[in-house]
Amino acid sequence: MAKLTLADLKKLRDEKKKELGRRDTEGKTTQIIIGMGTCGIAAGAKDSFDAFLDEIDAKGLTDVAVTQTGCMGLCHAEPTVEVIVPGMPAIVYGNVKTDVARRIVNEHLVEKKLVNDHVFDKPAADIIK
Amino acid sequence: MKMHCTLSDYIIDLVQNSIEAQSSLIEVDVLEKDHVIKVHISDNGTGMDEETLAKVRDPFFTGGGKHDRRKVGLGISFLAQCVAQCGGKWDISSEKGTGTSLYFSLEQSNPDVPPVGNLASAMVCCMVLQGSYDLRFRRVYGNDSYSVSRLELLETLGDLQDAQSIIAVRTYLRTLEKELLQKGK
Repeated sequence: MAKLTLADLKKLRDEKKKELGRRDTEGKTTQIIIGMGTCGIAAGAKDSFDAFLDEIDAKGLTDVAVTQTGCMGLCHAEPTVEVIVPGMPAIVYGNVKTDVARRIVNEHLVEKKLVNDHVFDKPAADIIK
Repeated sequence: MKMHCTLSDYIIDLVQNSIEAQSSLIEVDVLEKDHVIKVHISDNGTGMDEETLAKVRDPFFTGGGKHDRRKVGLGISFLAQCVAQCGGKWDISSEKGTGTSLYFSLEQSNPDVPPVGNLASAMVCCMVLQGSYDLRFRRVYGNDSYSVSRLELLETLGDLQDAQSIIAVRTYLRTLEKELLQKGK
């Protein structure tokens, strides 16, 4: 098989878009912001990032933006992820291993319910002192 | 002490330093040949003066300023420790206003060398950060190679924030990497 080209990449994405009937003008975007600082990376944030993509793909969700940020000050609870769903409060989740990432997609994004046992609202003590 | 598990994790961490230094061009080379892995990361960001450069190995120094009261910067310290414990080489050079260049090289026969890990996912993380930087990734395995440029991805897809675009980039990079490893066998 010939090496993949950028044209193949475009085809990959367009096929997916078509399949999901995505409209670019569709308004409200859900945001998933993954803490990818040194602390996050060491705790496995890259694997959580992959798990979010896998589950979003499996559920065929559209209008989800996935971005990264540095340390959010919750190094003791990495990987940390902020989830902003329009019409719901912005939530910072801690200890988001791959299984929790999948739960967030299913419970927070799809069912619109918070994953209560992973909600974190305060940074580490040395930062707020 | 929890440290990065794979070389891919180190690469994400180091590329972020380049982005924080406001680089418009970052070049990442990951070369594997004859059981030696060499990683070279260079950028055209703000760079560092000699005094700052001398401090980057200190885990209690940070140039980031993300959290005023926190005085740790572990990215390069982790790399230095990893390289020291498996008998590799690394170095960093920098010039204020010009950019920074860093490399490390490890002999894979040493059992303490971390695995390469999921390089495709790591490059996805590096490619889809916000901003208008270009990231040119060159991957060599044996006698074969591939290259991917962030600006080309951005031009092709028009967006690197949407989950569906990121998934497409991941499939693209995974396929290139898988084919490269198969060919090199």
